[in-house]
Amino acid sequence: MQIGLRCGKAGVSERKRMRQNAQRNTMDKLFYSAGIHTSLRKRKDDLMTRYPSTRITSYDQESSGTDASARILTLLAGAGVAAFGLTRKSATRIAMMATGATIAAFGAFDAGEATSNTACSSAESSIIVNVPRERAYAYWRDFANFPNFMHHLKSVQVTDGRHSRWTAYGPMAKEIEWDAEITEERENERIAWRSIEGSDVEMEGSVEFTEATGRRGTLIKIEMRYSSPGGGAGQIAMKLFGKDPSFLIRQDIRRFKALLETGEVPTTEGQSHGPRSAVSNVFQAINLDEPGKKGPGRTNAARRRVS
Amino acid sequence: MKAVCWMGKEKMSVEDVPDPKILNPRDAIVRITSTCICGSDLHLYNGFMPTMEQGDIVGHEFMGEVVEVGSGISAEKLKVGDRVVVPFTIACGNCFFCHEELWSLCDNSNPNFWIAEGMMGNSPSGLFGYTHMMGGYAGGQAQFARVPFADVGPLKFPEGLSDEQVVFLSDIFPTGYMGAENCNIRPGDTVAIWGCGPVGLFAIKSAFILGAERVIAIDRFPYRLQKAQEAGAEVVNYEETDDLVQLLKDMTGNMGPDSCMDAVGMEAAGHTLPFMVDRVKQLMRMSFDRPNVFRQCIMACRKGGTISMPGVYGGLVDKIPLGQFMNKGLTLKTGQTHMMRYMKPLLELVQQRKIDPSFVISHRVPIDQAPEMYKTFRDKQDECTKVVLDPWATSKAA
Repeated sequence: MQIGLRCGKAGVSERKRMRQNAQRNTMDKLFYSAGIHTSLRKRKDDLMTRYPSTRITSYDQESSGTDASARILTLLAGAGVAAFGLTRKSATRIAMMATGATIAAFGAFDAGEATSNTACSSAESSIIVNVPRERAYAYWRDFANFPNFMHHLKSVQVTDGRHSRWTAYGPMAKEIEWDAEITEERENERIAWRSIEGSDVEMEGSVEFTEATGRRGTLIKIEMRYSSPGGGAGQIAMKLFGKDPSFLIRQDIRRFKALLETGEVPTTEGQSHGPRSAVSNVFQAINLDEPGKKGPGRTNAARRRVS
Repeated sequence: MKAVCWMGKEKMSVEDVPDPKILNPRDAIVRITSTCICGSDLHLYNGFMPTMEQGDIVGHEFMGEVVEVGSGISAEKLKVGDRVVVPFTIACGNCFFCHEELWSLCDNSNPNFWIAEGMMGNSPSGLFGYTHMMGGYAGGQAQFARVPFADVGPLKFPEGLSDEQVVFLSDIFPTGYMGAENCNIRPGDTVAIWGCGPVGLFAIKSAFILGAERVIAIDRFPYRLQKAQEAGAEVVNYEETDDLVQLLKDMTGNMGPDSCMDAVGMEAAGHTLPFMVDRVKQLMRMSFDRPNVFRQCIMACRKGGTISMPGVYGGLVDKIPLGQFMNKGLTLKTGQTHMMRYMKPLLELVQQRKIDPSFVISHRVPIDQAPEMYKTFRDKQDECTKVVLDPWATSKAA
């Protein structure tokens, strides 16, 4: 009872936070391609690449910008070696040009392949939530609760016992919508759902609830899979979800745990701080969803130094 | 409101920032009446803690009066007007770890858990004003602070006690006490404590409370050693000996102290070769930590003894005599303080006049002087042991 009330209350601020998160993903993408990060965001990316073993989820993605750029780099490197070969004496020249051409060929072949694929990503994660199985199941079974812990979703409207309409935040303030249906339902054990045929986004997911060992609550296992048949809103959705689905799902499931255990999702969004660095300010000032509107916690007006 | 902000390495400044707001149902806003600079804040000041961002409000030892309470907190737990001491760790009270009373390991209070999980495998609890890895929560060296999960952490205390008597329940008194508890003291034991800063001083007093017969305190500043002596410890100035480990063995009939406590942490000082290697590595950012106190603890501790480590470390450390540690059969106990386990019992000690924590205070200044006090404290000038800031007083100079 108490939890339900709190969740309702949290809903409003949650939505605001979701918008910021969606925006942040877009920003990450934009700035990543330009090679710009805030120190913190860079650190996150560094950590994710440097310590991949800390992810407890699997992550597969058939097409990604990073792979493609690596291949293009290979192509360029090969061409470089070949060009350098041109400046050498005869025997070296031939050897280097041959090597360079081979490397470039690999790069070209791969680069072509990388950009022609349909995108697909899946992720799974699990966590122990310190509440009884019935409660965890009941909260999840009401799909309208999803935006409270899945921050890329704007809303989920339950249309009837089995159907729901999902709205997700996309880049550049675009929204992506699709309909989903429940495909399997075993009380206090398992729920599975998928998008209905013909949606821009093809997605399916399932969640399982089992007793955790040592009376530590409920072990929750979640699997999500998104794929897009190519083009349109689906492709944009892939860009949003495709960044690192296992990271996003891990965040979602941690928030689910916090929400059920404590009644709220821990946050620092909107708290006060002193003047940020120039790079950080750029991130806050550019607000693609609502241009001109300042983010919370901004202190430009208060930059005056106290003597 | 005024707040002390981290603006970069060795740059703290008092800024005018917006007042904090309630962000979650279980938040409260506290009007701060006393706040302190902690030795661990000096690690931030010196730029050795990763994931600080310019503009972060620092400070995690504060107390004050509740001025606003979120909708999720019942009046029996906390209400406007309550005077409270706020612990530096943030805990939800609902997760497995909180139920086990491992409050500083709370599973839900760190919104940036992913940074900590990347660095450490798992995330400890959120902390006030202490890096984004630990939650990025705005700290308490300010006029107001937002306190999350305020129905769990803040300790109400009865009328008749002054700020100075209770403010150290926010960190250093429980931290020193847990450091002593982690020593596994049995009656008659000898405990050696490296570092006679505030935590070390509280640890000395706590070790005696817990039944230690002898406490040997190690530092290099005479004024700190004097405070340790007043607390009842035998004192050693390590700068006056070339072989501290041998000296400790000589003082204990070749046995070594039963327990050794590292109340220094990542920025240990020293004058021997291993220390200089550490220092160079840290300056080159090859390592966050200078672990020479920990090394000495391992070498000096008696066989089968216990090492307690309340000192803060940042990351990967090498050149640790692990073989020695293993072959001597030592035990290591450490962790951020499980505050809510100790605050109430220690408040009772204060109420019974068994200890007056205000003995550590050396400076009381208005918050405007915080930046210069960081330097004074760091450089151990002016016999600085503990700085208490008044957020509302204005300095005479201003």
